[in-house]
Amino acid sequence: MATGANPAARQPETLIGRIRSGDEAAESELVALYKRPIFAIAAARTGDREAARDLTQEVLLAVLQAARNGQIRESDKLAAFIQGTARNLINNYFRSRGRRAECSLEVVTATSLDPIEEQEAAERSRLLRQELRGYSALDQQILLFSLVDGHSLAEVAKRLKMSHEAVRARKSRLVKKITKKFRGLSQK
Amino acid sequence: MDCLTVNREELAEKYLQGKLDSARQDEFETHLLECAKCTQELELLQALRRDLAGRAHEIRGWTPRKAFFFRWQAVAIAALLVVVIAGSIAIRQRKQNNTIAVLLPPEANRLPAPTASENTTTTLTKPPVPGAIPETTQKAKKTEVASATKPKKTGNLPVNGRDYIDFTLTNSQGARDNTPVIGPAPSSGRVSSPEANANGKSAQENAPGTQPVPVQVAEEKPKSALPPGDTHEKPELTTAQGVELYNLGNVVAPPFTFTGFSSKFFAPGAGATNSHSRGRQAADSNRKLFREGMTSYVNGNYKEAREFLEQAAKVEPNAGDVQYYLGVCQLLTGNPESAIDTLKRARTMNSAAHKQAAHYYLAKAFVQTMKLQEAEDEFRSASEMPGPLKGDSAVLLGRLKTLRAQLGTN
Repeated sequence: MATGANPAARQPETLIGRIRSGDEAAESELVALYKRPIFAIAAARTGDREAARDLTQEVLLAVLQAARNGQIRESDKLAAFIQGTARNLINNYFRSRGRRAECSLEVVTATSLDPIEEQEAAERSRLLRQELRGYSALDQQILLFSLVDGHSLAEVAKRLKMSHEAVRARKSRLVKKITKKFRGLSQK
Repeated sequence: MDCLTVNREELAEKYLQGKLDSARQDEFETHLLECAKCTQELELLQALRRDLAGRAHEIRGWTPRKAFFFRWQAVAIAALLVVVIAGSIAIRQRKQNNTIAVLLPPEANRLPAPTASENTTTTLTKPPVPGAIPETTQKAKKTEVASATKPKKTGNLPVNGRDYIDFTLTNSQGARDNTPVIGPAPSSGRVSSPEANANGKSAQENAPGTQPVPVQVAEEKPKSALPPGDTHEKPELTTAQGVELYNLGNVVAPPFTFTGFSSKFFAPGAGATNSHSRGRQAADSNRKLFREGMTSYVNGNYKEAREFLEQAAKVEPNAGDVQYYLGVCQLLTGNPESAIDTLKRARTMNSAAHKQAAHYYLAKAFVQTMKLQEAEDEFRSASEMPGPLKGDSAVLLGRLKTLRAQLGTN
C-alpha cells in the first residue's frame, strides 16, 4: 500500500482512471485496498482458505484487466463490480472445482502472500484462542452453539436451561468484548 | 447498507451461517468492500468460529452448571448454609475461649462476672500469654482460617463447573494466597519434618490455634527434591506454573454419542432368527459390558463405567473402543498411571476415530504423572493426525513446550 499518498488518489474513481492510464502503482493500491475483503468473502462462501487465496487472485486479476480495458464504466460502483466479479468466479469455482485462469499475475502474486500479514493473522488467532480459553464453559458453549452450530438463541437457551434473555445478553456482551479487544490488533 | 444496519441486524453472523438471501448477501459483501471496519469484524468472527469449531469436541462435552440461582430451593440451601457456617463459627469461638482460659496462668482466670447484656463469650482482660493469639484478632482471623483451609471452587478456569480430577503435584509448592485451588492443597516436596502429617503440612501448621503458615513460592531456583531412583522430571513449580500444569493435564470427558440401545442389544438372541450363530449371540453378550459401561459413562458415573469397562476389557481384550474409554475413565477417576498403560494399548488398536484421541488423553495422563517429555511426544502425535483434536493438541503442545522451557527440563 502506498504510504503518504494523497488520499484522493486512492478513491475508486481516481484509481480506475490511473489504472487506465497505465499507472502500475495504482494497480498495487487497488490490490492492497480490496485484497482483504475479497479474501474474507471468498473464505466465507467456500469455507476453504486455500481456495479462497486462489479465488482472491483470480478476482483481483479480473478486476485489473477490466480496469485496464476500460470496462469499468461507473467508477463509483467499483465495489459492486468487484462483488459481482467475486460472486461469479466463486460460482464458477463451485461448478468446475479446479478450473483456473492462466495469466500473468505478477502484481497480484507479489502482494497476496504477504508473510507479515500472514504472521500477524496467526498472532491474532493465537491471542483470540487465549482469550477464549479464559471464558467460562457456559460462555464458550453459548458462542459455539450460536455462532458455529447456527442455533437460534431460543434453542441455545433451551439446551442450556437458561432464559432467552440471559443467553442474548451474555452472547452480546461476549461478542462486544472480543470485538473491542481485538479490533485494535488489526494491522490496518 | 451501513454499519449501523450491519450491527443491528447481526448481518455478519448471519452471513457466515448462510442465513442471508442472495440479494442481502450481495449487499453485505458490497458493503464489506467499502468498509474496512466491518471487514475486520467479519475476519474476527471467522477466526472465532474457527477456534470454537476446532474445539467443538471438547466444548460440547462440558456440563454447564444449572442456573438455579433464583429458584426457591437455592435460596433455602443458601440460608441453611449461612446458619451452619454461623453456628460452626460460634462453636469454634467457644472452644477457642475455653482453650485460652486453660492456657492462662491461674491468676488470670478470675473472669469478670457476666452481665445480662453480655453474650456467652467471655472477654479476657489479662495480658496475652506468649504464643496465644489475642482474642481481639481471633474473630477477624476465623473466617480467614476457614477460607484458607477450605478448598475454593475455581471460578475462572475455563472448564465446567463440576468437580474434576485433582492430581497431586508432587514436589510442588503453592502459596496459600488467593489463587483458586481445586481440592486439597498440593503437598510440598520440601517438607521433611518428622511431625509432618500425611497432607505434607509442617508441625508448625498443625499446631492448634496457629495460623497456617504460607509456604513461600519458589521464585529462586529451587532445590530438587526427587526421591532416590526417580528418573522422571519433577521440578519445583511456581504457582503460575502449577496452574498451567493443572490446565494442561486437566481432563474433560469426551462425549460418547449413540443412537440408543435397542432391546435386542440387552437381550442377546431376542428377536434373533434361527439362522443366527451362537458366535453372534456371544459377541452381543460381550458387548453388553461395554454398553453398560458406556451407559454409566454417559450418565457421568465414571467409577461405575470404569468397573464395567475393566470387565469388558477381559472379554474383549482387542476392542479398541473399550481400551480407549477405559483409559479415559481411569483418568477421570484419578488413576493416571493405569490410564497410561490402557491408552498405550488403545493407541495401537484403534481406528482413526479414536487413535488421535488416544494420543491426546495419553498426553494428559503423562502430564498428570509429570512425565512431560512423553506428554509432549503424545501431543505432537495427536497434532499431526487429522481429526477434531488437531488444533487443540497443537495449542497444548506449544504451551507444554513453553512450560518445559521455563522449568529448564527441555
